[in-house]
Amino acid sequence: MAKASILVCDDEPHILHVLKAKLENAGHHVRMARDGEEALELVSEEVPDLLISDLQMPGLSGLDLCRRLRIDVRTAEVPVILLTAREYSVKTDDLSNTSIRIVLPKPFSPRAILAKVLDLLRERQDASQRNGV
Amino acid sequence: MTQTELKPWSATDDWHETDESDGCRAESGPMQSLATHRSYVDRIKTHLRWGRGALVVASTLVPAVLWLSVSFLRASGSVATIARWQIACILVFLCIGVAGAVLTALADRSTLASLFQELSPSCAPRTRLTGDSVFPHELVPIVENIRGECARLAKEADELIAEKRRVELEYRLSEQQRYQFDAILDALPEVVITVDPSGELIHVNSAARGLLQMTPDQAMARCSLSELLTDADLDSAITHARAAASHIGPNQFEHLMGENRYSVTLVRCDSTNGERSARSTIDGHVVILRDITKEAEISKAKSEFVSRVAHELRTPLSSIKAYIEMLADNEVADEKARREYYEIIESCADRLGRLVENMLNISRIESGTVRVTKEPLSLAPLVKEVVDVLRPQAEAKLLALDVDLTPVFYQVLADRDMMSQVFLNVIGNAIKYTPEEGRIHVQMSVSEESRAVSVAITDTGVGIPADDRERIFEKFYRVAQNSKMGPGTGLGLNLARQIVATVHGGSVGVTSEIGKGSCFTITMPLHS
Repeated sequence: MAKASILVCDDEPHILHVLKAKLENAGHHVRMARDGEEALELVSEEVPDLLISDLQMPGLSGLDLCRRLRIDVRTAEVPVILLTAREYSVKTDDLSNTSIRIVLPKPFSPRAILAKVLDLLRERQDASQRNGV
Repeated sequence: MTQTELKPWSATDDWHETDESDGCRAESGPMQSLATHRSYVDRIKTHLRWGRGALVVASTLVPAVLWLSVSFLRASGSVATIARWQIACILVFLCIGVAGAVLTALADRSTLASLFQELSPSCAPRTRLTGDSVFPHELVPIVENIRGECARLAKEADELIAEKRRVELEYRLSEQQRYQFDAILDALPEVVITVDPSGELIHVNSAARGLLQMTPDQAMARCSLSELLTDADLDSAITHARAAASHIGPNQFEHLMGENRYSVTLVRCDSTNGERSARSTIDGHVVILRDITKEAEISKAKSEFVSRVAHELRTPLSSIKAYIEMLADNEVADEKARREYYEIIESCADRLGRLVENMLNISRIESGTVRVTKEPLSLAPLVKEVVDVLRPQAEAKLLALDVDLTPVFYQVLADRDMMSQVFLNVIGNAIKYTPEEGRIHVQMSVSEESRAVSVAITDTGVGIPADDRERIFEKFYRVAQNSKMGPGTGLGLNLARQIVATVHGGSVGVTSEIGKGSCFTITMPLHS
């Protein structure tokens, strides 16, 4: 599988670093954002293949970030993995108007995250291949 | 009804004696009565004859005896003897004559008296029943009948009076009981409404009258619950619940009315099957509304707190788990990275420990179970100690940290460890929220006037927005835009204020300017 560009967004630096290490070890290109605003900036610089974002962040929350991405045609289809320590507070309705594909509760396993990332990237690749055909 | 039974109403009973002594019956007819009169007259005539005879005998005998004695004494005795004999004879005869007259008169008197009684007041045939009342003979059965009826009615009246007294007593008792029950139900803060099967009100307590905004007239009159309930949803809910409520158990639901949340309980109330008498039966439902707004708020705050605690615990736990997994999977570039991972795990574990410790301390202070060892304490050396502990952190951020201490003889009565915790939290925050190359100044001052010692911690940090200045003392509250400055539990300031204010009677205040810095002032009363 080709190298993917992944954006990781969390206000916890330790989480950012561990995800970066795990994904980079798998051969992907990882950029880090400390909050929603920073993530939007990085997205505007380069649209990632996938976004991993925390739900609860100061300022722009994970859900708000995803809604903003959904509005923009360039970023509307970027799949998102949402991490949260309050998974019970995420309602199904909240996920509409977003590209959130997976909600993962904290504490999480970097191994599991990598597996999900690979799944989503494969799906995305298949879809683009179908579209290409 | 016999005469004996009539006795209470009869004054005398002398007619029996009169009848029997005179040998005539009161019940005899008019002809017999006439004969009786005649016999009276005949008896008087006889008496008169006897009286006259006695007088004739006496008047005849006296001269005769006198003549015989004079003749006899002339022949044989002296004049004095003759005279004495004559006087004796005259006296004897006079006595006989007087006695005869008196006896006759006495006999006639009783006869005449009987006669007069029979004849007066008129000559019509009458009979005496009892006492002073005199009725025509033919009315006697009717009168007796009436008398009997009267007696029966009187007896019934007596019974009725007794019954009335008993009912009055029972009524007074039941009234008393009703007042007691009303008072008990009125004292309840819960709304208690009792309705019959058709939904009409049987009873409402004071709280219910308030809720239903009932006038006293409405309270007295029978009206249906539906008419009074302004809340249509509650009405339909109660109606539905009443229909569903079985004999088995109460039906309970929650209802939001305006801003208040109520717990509504419906209990089937049926005493018709019980042992109570028919008078005390009741069939219907008791509707109890309890305002649970406050409980709901507390419960909400509690669950929010728990969810917040869980979130705060999960965050460092996530890092620990993730880094351990990385180490376990040997996904570490080199020894340096490995060492870094171990340090991260350790710091996250420390954070978890601090979080748990802070929460326990706050909980202990709030519940009043905290162990406080107050002693006369000089704050100056304590502040210096804390500053020394934190100085490496400040130096790492190239912060200037200077202190201006008061003389040591100013003391406060405080728990040393707790106060140490306060300064660690507040000065630690100043270091955390002050960007590199900033300045932190700790200024101690004593006010003799207000008998207090103050420690002001001024930084050149990011500052606190005005809206957040009070909220930063709430549990788990962190200023959103400042949380990037460093990790925090959101409990440090809450704990500091709890220790200073709740435990020691001091205060913690804050002034701040965005972008320029903040100043936290801890004030403690001086120990005299």
